[in-house]
Amino acid sequence: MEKRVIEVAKKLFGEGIDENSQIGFNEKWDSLGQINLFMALEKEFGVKFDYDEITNNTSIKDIINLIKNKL
Amino acid sequence: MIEIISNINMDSLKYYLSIDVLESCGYGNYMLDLSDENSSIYQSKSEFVFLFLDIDEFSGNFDEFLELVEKFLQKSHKILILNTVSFYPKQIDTFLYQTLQKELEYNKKILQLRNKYKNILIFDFYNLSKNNEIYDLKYWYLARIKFNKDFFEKAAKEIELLINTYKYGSKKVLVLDMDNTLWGGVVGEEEIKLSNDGIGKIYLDFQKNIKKLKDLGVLLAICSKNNYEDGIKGLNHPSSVLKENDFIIKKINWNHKADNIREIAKELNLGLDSFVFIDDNPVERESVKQILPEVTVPEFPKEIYYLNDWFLDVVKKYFAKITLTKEDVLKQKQYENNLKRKQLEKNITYEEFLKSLEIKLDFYIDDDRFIERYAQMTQKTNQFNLTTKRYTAHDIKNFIFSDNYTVIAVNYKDKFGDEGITALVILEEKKDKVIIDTFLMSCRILKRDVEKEIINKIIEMFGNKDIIGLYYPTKKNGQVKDLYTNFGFEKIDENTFLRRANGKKSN
Repeated sequence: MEKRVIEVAKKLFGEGIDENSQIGFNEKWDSLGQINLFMALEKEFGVKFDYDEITNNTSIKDIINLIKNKL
Repeated sequence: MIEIISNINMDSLKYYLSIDVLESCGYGNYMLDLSDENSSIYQSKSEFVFLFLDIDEFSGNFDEFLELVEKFLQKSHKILILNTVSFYPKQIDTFLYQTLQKELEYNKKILQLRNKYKNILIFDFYNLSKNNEIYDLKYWYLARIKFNKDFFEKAAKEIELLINTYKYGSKKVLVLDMDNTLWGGVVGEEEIKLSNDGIGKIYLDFQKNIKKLKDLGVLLAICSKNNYEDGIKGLNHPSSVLKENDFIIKKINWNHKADNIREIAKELNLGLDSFVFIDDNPVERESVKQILPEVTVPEFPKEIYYLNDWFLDVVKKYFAKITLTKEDVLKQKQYENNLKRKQLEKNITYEEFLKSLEIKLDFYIDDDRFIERYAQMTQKTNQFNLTTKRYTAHDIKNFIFSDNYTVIAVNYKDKFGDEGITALVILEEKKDKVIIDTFLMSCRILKRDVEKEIINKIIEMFGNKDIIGLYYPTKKNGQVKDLYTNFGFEKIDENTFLRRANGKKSN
């Protein structure tokens, strides 16, 4: 699961993403990147996120925990 | 590089496009940007502009919008990618079909631009939206992102396909296997399936589709392991849509398919990268893929019912055309003529052969009637191309109307037919010298001493100045590396060759 999250993020933002990465990692992971990341995660894991979840979980670690609670 | 402008947030595309995206400054200003010649879309470095009009959010006058688009197409040298429009599927007037009427009207006008301007490509959003689940209202209300991830992935692919086809052209030759590809079963061993009912209809429809593709200028060839007589029998089947002479070359024998395809390429004088090979047999596909990696070998559908649907995807991916020039349609005939010339060549010496061709060359100097053809040649010619500089129609136009440049095009004719404009030279004139910026020739007329006549023409026009020939090696243009030295130019360095004014030798 952790790996899949990182893979999804890599596809959008490029190589170098790991479990310690967070928003601002590069110019691609900005607020628009954050939203596109969650669009891709919804598709990947078949779960839904609400607005607060999307705006509050801005690091790979937070996201992994968030998805763990949903699965 | 591509720049994206839209009346909604389409920036998500940048996560899915493999080409560079020029960072834009927000959405919504597209009308202003289009009308302002100082705006980024006019001035930036990007070669392509993707203008996405979301028709639901559009509140202006559509004709005025189109006028701005036309102005951009006239004034800018960039390539514009514009979408066909499609309303959100659920509307208040569902049973009145007002939105459908508008859609059809608008799209008709958008497509008409295609006939009028050469620097526009159409992104068929209408088609994409009707056939896929693409909307996600959550993200629309969160961030004005209207579409889901699937859409952005598909759209990015489509845009890249448009750009690649525009830049590199499409494939030229479709090579086909016969048994269980053009018909069901093995000819010579059983009654083949090819008819208007049952499974036979799949193959009949397949043949009809192939025939349509041929009519668009794609060359057909056969590469099949059969006895020759059996193969021909299959093509002469009463239901067969494709006849013997629809195929420019038929390799029906027991040789390796890769060898056959290599021979076809040689006989047609085309690069293997212009070839698509279709065969139901995975072993044959794999061997061709491995031995001839330049050849495109699509997977074959696992269930034969989907043959035609699959084939339409193949056609879209590899044979889609951006424009249809006169040369494209005449091409079939020209390749046939070429084969005939080759047969004649076999019986006599080469000089006799050249003489017997009765070649006639016409030189067009700074002639602006065929700008589009010239640009296409710079884009597509790889082998006989000394500098491989790619130019747009706009560039060519500038050369033609510039005092410092001379554009010479050559029309080739012989007793077998008119090949059309098949060679191009662009010369840059400086004070005391002339630089051959571009010198290219279609492979169809290679080895007929045409290049000699062209060099003579250049000398006739500019021989009283120093003439500089350039050669920039690429993976494909090795055959012309000695061209200038063969014609008596002195080699100055790896890339530069010199003929002194009036043919004087250096001291």
